Amino acid sequence: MTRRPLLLFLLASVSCGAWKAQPLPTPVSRAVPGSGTFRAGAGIADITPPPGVSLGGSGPEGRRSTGVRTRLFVRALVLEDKSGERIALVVADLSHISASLHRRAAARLLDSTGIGADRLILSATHTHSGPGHFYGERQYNKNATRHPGYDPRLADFLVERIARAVHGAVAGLRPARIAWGERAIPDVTSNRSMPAWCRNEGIPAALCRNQDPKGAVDPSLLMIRADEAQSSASAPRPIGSYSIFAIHGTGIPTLNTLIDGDIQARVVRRLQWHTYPSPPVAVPIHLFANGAEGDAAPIVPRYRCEVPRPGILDPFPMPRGPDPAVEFLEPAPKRTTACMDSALAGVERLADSIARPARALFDELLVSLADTFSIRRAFGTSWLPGSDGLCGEPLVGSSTGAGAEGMATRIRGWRWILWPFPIGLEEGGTARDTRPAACHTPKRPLFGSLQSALLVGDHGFPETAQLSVIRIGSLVLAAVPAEVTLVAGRELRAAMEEAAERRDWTPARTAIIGLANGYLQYVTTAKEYEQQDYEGGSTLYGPASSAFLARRLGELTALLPRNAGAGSPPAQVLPITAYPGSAKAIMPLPAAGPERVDYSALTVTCTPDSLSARWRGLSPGRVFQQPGYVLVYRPGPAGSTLIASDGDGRLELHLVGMEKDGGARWRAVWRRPGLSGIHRLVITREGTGSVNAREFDCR
Amino acid sequence: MTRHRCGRTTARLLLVLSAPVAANAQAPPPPTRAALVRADVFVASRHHWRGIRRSDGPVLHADAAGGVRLGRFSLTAGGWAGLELREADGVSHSDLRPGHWGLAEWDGWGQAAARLGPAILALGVLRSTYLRQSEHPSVTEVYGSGLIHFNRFAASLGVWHGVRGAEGTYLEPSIAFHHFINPFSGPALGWTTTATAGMQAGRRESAPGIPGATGTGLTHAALTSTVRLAVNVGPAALVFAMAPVIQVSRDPATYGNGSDVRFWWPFQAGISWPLRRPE
Repeated sequence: MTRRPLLLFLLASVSCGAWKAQPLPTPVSRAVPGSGTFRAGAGIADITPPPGVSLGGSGPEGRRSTGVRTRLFVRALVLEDKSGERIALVVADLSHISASLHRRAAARLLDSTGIGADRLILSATHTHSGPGHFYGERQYNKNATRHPGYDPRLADFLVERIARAVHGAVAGLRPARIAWGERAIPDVTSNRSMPAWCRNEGIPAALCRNQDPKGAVDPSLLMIRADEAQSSASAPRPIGSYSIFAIHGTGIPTLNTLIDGDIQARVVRRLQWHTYPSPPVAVPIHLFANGAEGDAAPIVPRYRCEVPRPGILDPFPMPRGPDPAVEFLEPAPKRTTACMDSALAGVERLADSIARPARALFDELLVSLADTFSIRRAFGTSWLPGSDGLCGEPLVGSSTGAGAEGMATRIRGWRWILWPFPIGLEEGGTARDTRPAACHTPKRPLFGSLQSALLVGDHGFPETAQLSVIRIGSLVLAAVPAEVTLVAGRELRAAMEEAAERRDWTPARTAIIGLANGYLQYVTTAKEYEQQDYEGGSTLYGPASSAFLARRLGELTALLPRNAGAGSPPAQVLPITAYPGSAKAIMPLPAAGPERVDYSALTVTCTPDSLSARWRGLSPGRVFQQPGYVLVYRPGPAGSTLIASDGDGRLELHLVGMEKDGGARWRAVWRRPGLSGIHRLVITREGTGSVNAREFDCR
Repeated sequence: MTRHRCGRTTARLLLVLSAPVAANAQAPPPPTRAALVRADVFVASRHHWRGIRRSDGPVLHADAAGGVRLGRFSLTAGGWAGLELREADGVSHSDLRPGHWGLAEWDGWGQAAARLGPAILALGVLRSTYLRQSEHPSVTEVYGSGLIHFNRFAASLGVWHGVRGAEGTYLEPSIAFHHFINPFSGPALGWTTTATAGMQAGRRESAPGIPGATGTGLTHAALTSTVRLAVNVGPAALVFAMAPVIQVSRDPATYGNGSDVRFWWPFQAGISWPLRRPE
């Protein structure tokens, strides 16, 4: 071997090795001097990636994105009590949070804000139409979407934007008062795993007898409202709100190819409309976090929604030639359109049903605002494999490959590969295997012993859990890096309440913030685990997972001081190593393609209920830096009014294709039933970023 | 007379096959007109056709086809050639005379096909020319084929009716079960087991050197389990396949000793263009 190839080989080995193990920072919060007043601030940053990244959360059904329907954001609400104890509540429009995102964002914040990993509660809304490719866990980069790969640029982008949102919130800290309350919102969620839920002890037998999945959910929406100190009923000055509501972000079907924040984004938008104040008061920022949503599915109609089915790939048959290629073929376009239309209408209706009581609760809380809350937190990092009843090796069950009820994968029901030997790929049934008795029993591992030996390997799944317990006055919140089922969530809360009572204080309310600070997939109760539905199959560390987390949260709760006189206990921000796998450039580069294009080919088509425009424009990486690429105005006597922009949920932006010179062909579709009169479409920031817009009238 | 009866049988079978097709037909794709083109080159460890051993040695099969797609319909024509890559020795099976290797058969065909949701139907003409004899005899057949997918199952029927150079009708029904198809992106990995039967209706009555069943009725039944791996390479797919076969033979042409059970394990590798795996 000559020197040059040897050098290249060594360099390649080193760079591959670097992606294999990445020790994460251990940022522990620094003390911040108290201002003597309760303060709050809110911030927001856009995290919409350009089309081209795959949509995470749906495994093999996670398609490559081709545009945007709603832009994605990360929102932050920072609360600081009189003694200077800070907490940053952050919610990102992502499917999950990786511990590596959490740690790296905290490291960026530490010097400027004092907020470390132990005071950053970073959670995901759980939209299944956000990007994948950012995890610190190799297996999620491989299987959270249909297209595998870890993109360090995307991860860096998210970390930077998370930090930007929190920096904005800290910069906006001002004297404030807060209040919290809750309201039940029935009939918007249902339990998607009734056979497992019914295995639990002490649940209403009538619900199981009647198969009433709407009754097997937690309908409560918990909200913290923060206002400026001088806010009053006559002159409200809201800073923002933080809500927790258990609902899967799966209103948008897996056939979708547009980036979309799902139900949560639409609820937030409705809250935004409700509280939009008059200038110069800052726009309030609403955060909508998820709760114990492991088995809570949104009630959204699915009309003609199908998964791809096997078919012949060859465009035409041949009487002589090789055997035809069999592949999964997409459903017919008309069916996909019917599915998407019905689901989108359902998601809008569901968002209305949630936002209406949420707005009422927000209004109610105005009269009970106070600045007497103290903030305390306890934080711990736990090693998982083999700890305290957990299995020594993380495994997913074959029911995970089948997908959850209502979110089936294309291989759901493929229980027989080699008859008569079952392999699962269904919920319950053959996904259960009681032989031999082992830690994971009755889980039938997906692909059996091949899973850990060949497909996952060492460190493919998460091996640590970051847990937080936050006390805001008498409200106690637990940040859990998992999708916890309803009953498992109750077990966790009960453990926290018992621990508090042993310390002679009683929380007024406890709640779970799910999908926070990392991602361990699901956590079910031991009884639910026996069923091996999707959630049980996806409980990585076996049937004792819920009990393990309950013990840890109880221990953290016990560390919290009884009264406001004492500060927060020391935080255990222990070392964590990320194993994201090999790096791959997936997110389009911001500087790709030409800086200017000739887009004289723009065409606009109007129909009674929509507007469609096509043009040749800049590359996805260039136009997705900020929102507001395509705008719709309605001219009026007092000037033009902006009524739509790309990514607002109604104005869809589609990437039709790429040009040879790096430019792109775009299409915008504005769904607005009853559209009439003159409208103007403006495409902004073409070329150099100055005045380079085109305007069109649409009559 | 036989020919007419077989033609009616073919029509009936296609009608029967098309009935569930119509019921399952998905909404038609948007009307599109597009040129169709395809080429394949494969090397296989041996060659079997309609249950008949054609070559025990390695073969190279090449084909090219083109046409036009009009919505769900297509009109195409193509050619196929089979080359034996080892000299025939007179002991092992071969289409060529001992001491020869090279082109053993070439075919030309034209067809109309329709893709109706989960079903594909085709009607066409196939002319096969065999090079074993110095005079290069040929056979012209009209054929109809239909295939329908029901999730992991696929049922198909092919019917070939001799109109020149041979008589009689050959029918080949099959049922396939897809054990596995890679659900993720990346290489196309599939495993399919297919049960096939061959039936000859009416004697073939072909000239010497033209392969085909010697009698009528069931010619053979075979169970094939195919593992296929395809990797996208540029605009094409690199394909590797192995397909162990167990066959029960009834017609002497499918095996010299009449009823018999045989097992073989062929391999093939090749390239298909532009048959890339979709994302």
